[in-house]
Amino acid sequence: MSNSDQKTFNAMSALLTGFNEQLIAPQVDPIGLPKLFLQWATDHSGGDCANLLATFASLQAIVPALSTDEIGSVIMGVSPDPTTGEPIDENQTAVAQAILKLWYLGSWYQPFDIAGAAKGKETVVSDQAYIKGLASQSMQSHAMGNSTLTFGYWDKPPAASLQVTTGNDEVSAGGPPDTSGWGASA
Amino acid sequence: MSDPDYDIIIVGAGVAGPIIAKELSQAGAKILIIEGGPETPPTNREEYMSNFLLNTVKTLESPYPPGMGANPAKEATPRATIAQTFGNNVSPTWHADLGAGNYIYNADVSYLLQEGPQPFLSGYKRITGGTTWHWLGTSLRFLEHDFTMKSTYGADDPDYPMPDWPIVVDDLLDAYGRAEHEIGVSADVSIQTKELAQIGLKYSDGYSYPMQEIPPSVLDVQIAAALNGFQNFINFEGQQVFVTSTPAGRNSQPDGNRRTCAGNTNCIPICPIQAKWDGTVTLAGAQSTGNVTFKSQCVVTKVVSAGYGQPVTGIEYIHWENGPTKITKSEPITATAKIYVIAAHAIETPKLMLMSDMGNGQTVANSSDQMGRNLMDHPLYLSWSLMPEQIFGFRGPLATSGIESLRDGPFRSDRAAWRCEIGNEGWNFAIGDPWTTVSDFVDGKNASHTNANMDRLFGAGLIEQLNSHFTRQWRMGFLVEQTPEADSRVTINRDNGIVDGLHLPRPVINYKLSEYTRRGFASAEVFSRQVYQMLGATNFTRNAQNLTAADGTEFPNPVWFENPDRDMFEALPDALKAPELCANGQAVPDGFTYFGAGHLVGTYRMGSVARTSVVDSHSRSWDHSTLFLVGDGVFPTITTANPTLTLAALAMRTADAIKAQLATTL
Amino acid sequence: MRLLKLALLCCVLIVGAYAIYHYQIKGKNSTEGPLASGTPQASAMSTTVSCQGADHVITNGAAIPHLPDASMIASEDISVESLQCSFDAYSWDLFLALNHDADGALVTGGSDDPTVWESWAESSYIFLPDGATPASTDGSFPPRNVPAECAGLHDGAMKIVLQIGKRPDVLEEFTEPFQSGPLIDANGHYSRFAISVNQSMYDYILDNELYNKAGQKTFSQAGNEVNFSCSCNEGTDADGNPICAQGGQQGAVMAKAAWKVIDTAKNDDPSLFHTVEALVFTEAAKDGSRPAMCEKQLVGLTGFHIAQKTSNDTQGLWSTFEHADNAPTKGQGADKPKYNYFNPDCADCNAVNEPPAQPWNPDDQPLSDARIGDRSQIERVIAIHQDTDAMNAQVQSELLAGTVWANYELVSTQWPTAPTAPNAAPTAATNWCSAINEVDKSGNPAPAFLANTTLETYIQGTVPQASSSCINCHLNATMTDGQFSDFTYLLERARGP
Repeated sequence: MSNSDQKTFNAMSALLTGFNEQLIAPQVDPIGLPKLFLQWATDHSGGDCANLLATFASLQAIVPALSTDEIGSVIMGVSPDPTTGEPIDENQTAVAQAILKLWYLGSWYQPFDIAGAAKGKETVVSDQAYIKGLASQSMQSHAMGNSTLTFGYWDKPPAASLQVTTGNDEVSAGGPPDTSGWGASA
Repeated sequence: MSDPDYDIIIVGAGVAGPIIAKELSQAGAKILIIEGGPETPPTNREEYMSNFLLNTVKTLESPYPPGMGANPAKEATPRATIAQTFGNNVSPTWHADLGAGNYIYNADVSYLLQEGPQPFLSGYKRITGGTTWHWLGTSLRFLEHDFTMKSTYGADDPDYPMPDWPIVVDDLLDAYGRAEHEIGVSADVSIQTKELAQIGLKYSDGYSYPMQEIPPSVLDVQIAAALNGFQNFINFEGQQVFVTSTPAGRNSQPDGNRRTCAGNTNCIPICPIQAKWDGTVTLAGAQSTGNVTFKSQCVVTKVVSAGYGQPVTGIEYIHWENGPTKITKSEPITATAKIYVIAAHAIETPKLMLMSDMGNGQTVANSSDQMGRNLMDHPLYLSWSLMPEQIFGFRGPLATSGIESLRDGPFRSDRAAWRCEIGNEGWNFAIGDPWTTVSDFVDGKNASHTNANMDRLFGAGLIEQLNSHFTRQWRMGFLVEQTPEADSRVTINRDNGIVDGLHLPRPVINYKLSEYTRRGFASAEVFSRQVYQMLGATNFTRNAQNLTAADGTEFPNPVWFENPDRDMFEALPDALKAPELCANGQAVPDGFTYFGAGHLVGTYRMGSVARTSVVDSHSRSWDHSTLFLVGDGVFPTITTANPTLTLAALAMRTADAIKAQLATTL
Repeated sequence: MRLLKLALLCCVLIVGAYAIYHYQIKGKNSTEGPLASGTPQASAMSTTVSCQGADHVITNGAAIPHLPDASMIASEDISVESLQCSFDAYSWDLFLALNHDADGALVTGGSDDPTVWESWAESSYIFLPDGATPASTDGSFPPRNVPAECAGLHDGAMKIVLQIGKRPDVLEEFTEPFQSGPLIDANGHYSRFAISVNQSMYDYILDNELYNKAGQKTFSQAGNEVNFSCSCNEGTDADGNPICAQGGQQGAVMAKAAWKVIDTAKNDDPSLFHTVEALVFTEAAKDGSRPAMCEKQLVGLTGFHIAQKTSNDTQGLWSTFEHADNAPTKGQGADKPKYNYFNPDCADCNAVNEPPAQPWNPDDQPLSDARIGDRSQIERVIAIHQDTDAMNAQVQSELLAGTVWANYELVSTQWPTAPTAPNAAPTAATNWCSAINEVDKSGNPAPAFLANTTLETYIQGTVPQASSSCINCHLNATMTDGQFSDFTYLLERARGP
């Protein structure tokens, strides 16, 4: 991967995950997940990971600048590409969703059939990918099996706020639960 | 006859085997321990942790050999599986096909051959240390009436399903204390007895646990604040409810050269730091005496005796190795001792005994025809919900508190009691979170039933939605006391052609939940509604009556059963019929689904007479004075408490009996 | 040549609202050029190692470095690899300083001169059987009492009484942590382990009465959390606030050593080791068949951990050294004729890196020649990084030639990459430690895994939580009441009421 691909991947990862880029892709990084993830996504998406990064870079280059929300909505297939008026290629969105889940769960969910991997095949890409999964940070905890805290921590609410765990001052924790899904089909 | 090779041969290195070995090897007895599965030195935790981390399905067997999905026909020590027995390994026509050589689950994935009518859902590990590698650590004592069910609640009812034990709680108080110190239980007697003496929780005078209690979670404290002292629970007239800290075989301080619990939230399937006791700890203690010979990968195939009333004179076993392409195995090897202890758990023990033909058409230790009968588990009712406030689950040990105060009461005359375990792991057990909910909100799906709008989120919006859910998720697990049933049983079938990798027959399981047991599920559902009402929580429990096949057709879910008591629900006040309080949103549920609790109990019950039981109150075979069958297979009833502590206490009792017997025969 | 004087200024500050390491680069403080490399010079005072493109000066001095120095690394070159050079250079500075004797001379082979760390308080003198206050409360270390079993062996002229295995209930003295197994050397002797602490750490334990159970409980119940002092250098932050005590501060340092019996009958060469005459204590047999015993033995140092808390690195910096002949590296062949813990020519040896079979019984040693399979057969699993290897070679040849210390090598230094909480500047009230990262108290260490073949022999892999990582493991350390003990397992040894 080129440096610029990696930079684009890191920026897109930060935008999609909502986590501060310096937390998920720090300059001083003893683990190296961003590199592993980009390589993995590239190897398991035909050319669509590269296409996605190109799409992301072009969205970033639009003048006047799109907001991160607008860019993310296009990438996730929720809004049309403003330059074409059409949603971006669905495979690119599928790769973006797979990358997002990879960051949160450490697992790669194969987004579509490729040689050697059928759609839906799940792989834990590394032990570190699992334990550093952002799902555990979104719940202000740790991956199951990898406590980063000490005896008895559980009898108090988390010491670190959601803003600290995500490095994102924009998030607000503690909103009411959305129980509207309750009535959905059993 | 020549001198025996050992004083004692113990088959199985799980809980009871190592405890008996340690007690007696410290007293100087020469002991052979034979374990069917592989050895698990402390360094194996690296390998098992790695398996856990890299497995996509992090179920309780995921860290351990054999590999997930291994064909039991090709393994020397296949284990009963859990994950494979769900979902896609069930034929859509299983119900119609049952019987006539068909089983609920495909024999290529399920070691246990399940003849039904309902599936038995619990498994066990066939490795050194046994199933304690993935036990939770819960170390509750049984209650006074647990030992006297028949005389307390069914004296006048000839059909009452629960027998008395041949011992009463006072017989076991001292052994409980020894077991708690061997395991290293963290709890506080004064806290336990403050609210639980009313249900018959007893200790010896002046007793104290070896370690302070494990602190309760934020969730525990919040539930306790809402519930403690409340006594108007429907179906539990006048009984007060308390949330109490659960005694746990988990270090609350450094002990036994093992670390203090760090709250890895992973007692099941593997504690990464061995803060939780397991059988290998006590086994190492036994081995350090120098009096113990330990053989792993040796599967016992026969216990030898000339007949009922005759001693056991030897055991036969085969040693196996995994070769590059197939299993290699030794010729049968015979070993002899003065005393034989079979400690292979509630399925492998009866399997071995039923394989132990005495050449006269009879099998060892089965003059009562009770061997293998009364197989029990805690069928578990899982109820999950969202709290109105953040309670920060997914933190701390998997469970730190429970509701024990309803484990006993007059209602036990006609329906099952339960204990309620409060889970600290969000909806991990319930729906496989965080995977399910994350995937829902990234992919715009609704498998969790919490994304009705099929939102597809990213960035801060995703974080907030996930935080909102994950910090409010919790669950209750109701461990329902199942009745012993003569036709819920383990048998073997040498004619079905289905064997394991050593060509030994596989356990055939018949299993069912009685009406008494099923009514316990109904009362658990009613109780959970009241709890949710008091907490302002929203019930998301789903009891799936049907499963969906790959082609979209629906077929009966084998773990679902019909609501046994619709009247109980019809009679509820309207407030408790509000859909947001009810499983499946149904005011009167059509039925319930159950999970296994991994508590395999009852297949060689103890009793006070030989005619109706397999062993006496010391776990000695009525038929062979030198044979002891130990473990929770001896339990006449399962009660509502997790079985490990009591089986450990009974192992202490057996060790004393063996010590006395050796002294008199030497 | 004048001693290079390095101002080891704080180079790690916290910026922003979250814990991200930011390396503020000060100008180079040394004004002299580096030593010409390639000119071996025994007992040189310093040597300059080029590592990842930056020059690191390693000083053969008696001053314990308080902080690593990353000031020579250009900001655009900051990375795990480049910073590792700084931490490794720091480790060597630390090693050299601690292995000087009190007079400042580097201890040479076969000597019983005490090194700096061997004069520190050893755990068995701090945590007394009845929880009693260690005898010395006047700022000096507690006296080294000779146990009754050893009394007859004690030669009054012995300068060092290294007493290992005193504490019967702490098996760690002859098995590795968490009962993972004993380390039995190629000659069939059990290796022994001992931990000692420096003045700062000892004083903290004494002042807070953490040497017995009751004291620990009182301490916790008063709402305190253990927080040993951090080393730092005098200075101020960008706002002009002090970042250390006036004149700098020596914070808590721990040393853990592994020793093997020097068996000259089996061709062990004492001149290759730092050796001491030790009184080796073995507990009584459990079944009463044998009383406690004590032997005077010549033992040689084979493994050496040093952990120092610094104001930036609340989790501590973990330096680990080994004797160069301990074990071959996996996959790299065993080209030495003799290893301390590996038999290169052995068909019946124990499986590599598996603990010896039970029972483990130090009463019964050395193992007979027939019991070849009951010894440890050890390989290093994670190879020493090539940068560290190069640094080791240079230090050994330029600073240590002609001393026993040339036979020792740095394995690595583990350091936290994200150690602290936002806005967690150290103050006098926090013993000049920065507040710990509350999201991940381990601080996400680099390297993620680090093992010494003599001290974490059987868990050398790369599996999170299960394999050896100094910081991750010590994060689990608690006092006897279960409360966090600030990355040391020592406090769990407290006894008494």
